[in-house]
Amino acid sequence: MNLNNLFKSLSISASGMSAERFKMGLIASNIAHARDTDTGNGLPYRRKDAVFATILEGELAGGVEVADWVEDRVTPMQQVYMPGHPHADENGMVTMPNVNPHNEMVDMIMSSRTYEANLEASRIAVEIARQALEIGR
Amino acid sequence: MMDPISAHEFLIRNDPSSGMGARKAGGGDEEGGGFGEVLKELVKETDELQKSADKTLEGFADGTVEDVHEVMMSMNKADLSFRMLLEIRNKLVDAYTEVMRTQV
Repeated sequence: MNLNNLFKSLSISASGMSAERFKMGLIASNIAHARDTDTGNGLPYRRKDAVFATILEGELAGGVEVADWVEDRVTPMQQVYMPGHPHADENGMVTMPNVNPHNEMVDMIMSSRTYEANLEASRIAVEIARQALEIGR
Repeated sequence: MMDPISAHEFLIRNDPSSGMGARKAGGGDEEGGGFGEVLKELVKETDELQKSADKTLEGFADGTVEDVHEVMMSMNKADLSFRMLLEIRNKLVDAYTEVMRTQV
């Protein structure tokens, strides 16, 4: 007898929640670094994004995992004229991160709603299992 | 849970009238294991789930487990499996009291 089959949908919902939590961490980082012009190597911050993938084997097979996180190298960096800024070039232009806080907020709303959806799915799975156990009464 | 196929096999094995599973009376679980074996396994698994719930909770307290939902999930699993065990136990006790009430 393997109880894990009983909890299959629970585990899959949990994997979705973990993935969304990770993505929300990246979005928070993007928002926090929206004006960060030096990340330690003299280069401005680049927007980060999570890459989700299906778990193919193991106990959590069928669930979702964060396969990787990547830096956004497609969206162009913003150039702002700030001659007094220590990171300004000879023309007085400062390269700002390619983070658009509006887009990040929309992503954040999507992530948090997806998290809630996973939560609801797991809640219903538990509810169904409990109700099924009532059959014996 | 028991999948339907193994449940079917389980029924055949324990049906004395079916030639395939016929065995001497009294010997319910020499090979393959009978209901007692299934029950024992269920108790073991429930115990393991309780222990893993304990471990996740501990891990959350000392920082090795980061997700709150992971703790709640493992507690939910432990709770559900225990409820299932309890239901089975209640059914067994019901059956026993029913038999004890038989008029001789």
